[in-house]
Amino acid sequence: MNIELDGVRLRYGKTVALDGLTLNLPGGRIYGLLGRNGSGKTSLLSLLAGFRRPTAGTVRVGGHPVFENGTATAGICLIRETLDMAHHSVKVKEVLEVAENLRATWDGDYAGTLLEKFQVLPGTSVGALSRGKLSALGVTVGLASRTPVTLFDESYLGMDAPARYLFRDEVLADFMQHPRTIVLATHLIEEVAPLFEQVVIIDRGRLVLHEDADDLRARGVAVTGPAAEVDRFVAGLTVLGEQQLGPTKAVTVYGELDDDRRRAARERGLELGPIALQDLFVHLTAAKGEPA
Amino acid sequence: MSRTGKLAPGSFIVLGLSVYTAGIWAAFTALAMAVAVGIHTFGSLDDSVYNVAGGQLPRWFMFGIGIYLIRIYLPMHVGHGRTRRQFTAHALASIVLVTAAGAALMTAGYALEGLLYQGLDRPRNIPAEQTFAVDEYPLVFAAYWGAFLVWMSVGALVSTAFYRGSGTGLLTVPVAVALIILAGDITSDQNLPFDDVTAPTSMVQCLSGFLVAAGLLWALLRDIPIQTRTS
Repeated sequence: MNIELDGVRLRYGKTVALDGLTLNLPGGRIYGLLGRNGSGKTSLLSLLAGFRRPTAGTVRVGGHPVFENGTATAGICLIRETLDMAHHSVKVKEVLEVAENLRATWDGDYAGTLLEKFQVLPGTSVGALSRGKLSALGVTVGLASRTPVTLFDESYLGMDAPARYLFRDEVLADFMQHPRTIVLATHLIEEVAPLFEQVVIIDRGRLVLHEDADDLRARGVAVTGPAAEVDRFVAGLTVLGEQQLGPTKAVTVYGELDDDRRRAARERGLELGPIALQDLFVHLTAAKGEPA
Repeated sequence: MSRTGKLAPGSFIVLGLSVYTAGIWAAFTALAMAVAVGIHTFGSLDDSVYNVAGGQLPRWFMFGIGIYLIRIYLPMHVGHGRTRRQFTAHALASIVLVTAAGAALMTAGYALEGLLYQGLDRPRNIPAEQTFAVDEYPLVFAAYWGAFLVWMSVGALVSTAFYRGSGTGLLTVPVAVALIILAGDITSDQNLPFDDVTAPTSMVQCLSGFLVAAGLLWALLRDIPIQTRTS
């Protein structure tokens, strides 16, 4: 299902959360939605799921307007880190029972399998779950919903590392078996970046970029080698970040290198690699006066 | 894990709330019977304990169920792709059916109390001003259904208003109080301004209160944003 936003604006009182956002996301891909705190990611996802009505503009999923349109919303599932749809007083198994009764595409067996993998007990109240287990329940509901458009908003915050890896593996495995449109909004960029086919970055309610992840990684280069050689090589380039371990230094630079530059790097014994999306994200969204 | 199997979206609300209501009713009825037996053992049992206990507690319970209906099920329904229009229809149908179930249970409670008093060979008096006699079971059912309709729908209305925002919630409180007063005090001894009326008039008041509450509920629900909790 395609996602289309045209001139979308969302205001909360005097605050403009989204400001004329236009975006077209073809269906059947995994998207990374990146943005700083308060950039409008949650507002955008809330509009996509029909949780809110846009102040202006149109939001369409699968060609259908979303707000108050059951044809569209039946195929959309938004899971937030706090699992807003489930009140703290209900039990885990009740959350799944409600999902089973409301979602035509619900896969109860898969939900049970995921709960076991994430070690979430069905008899526990939602309010009694730890942050990580609450996230795991949300991820379970999102994946088992098997909706054509599945949106995860920081859905794995609080999970420990094995659970986060499990989440990443399950997203990929389930996407391969049941292709659909998945949007992952996250601050833990590098952990899930390998999943992204395309990346959308928003800042202050506006679109900063929408590109293929591979094209985005090609926008910069990571240069690694002896510190002195690296420093000489990157002189005059836009440096996004640097790390040093003993005599070896790794510097991330913004901008593509031409063939001559690449040849020169090889002659100096320097390694060139793809840029980390997180470094590029920091550079593109840094406010004035902040390190980019 | 155990699962209930698929039910129609509205019916699992009715089933869930009715089962919960039945559990509370069983405890309430057992307690009322125990109090009646206690009064009989240590004093003189002449009045219907169930009628006294049933005056306030059950309607406040229904008010709470109305709050619960919105707080629990609204985010779940919209979160799982149902429209607010669909949810409102399910919520109103649930209010009608759950209150009917509650009224039937209260009527059964009166009947059970009748058997107890019969066994104890005691009279069972209630105030003459009430809209029903203690053994007029159809009227008992109608009176409780009417009262429950108003109280549960008003609970849902207040809950929805506070879900939208505390300002809207506070503005709705006087409206809720007015609806409850206008609907009268059909199940007890009638000391509210609009109570000095017959049973049919009381029912019309209750139904009017329910319809007004239902209209306001839809007005608040039709474009309600689903709140996002901060972590």
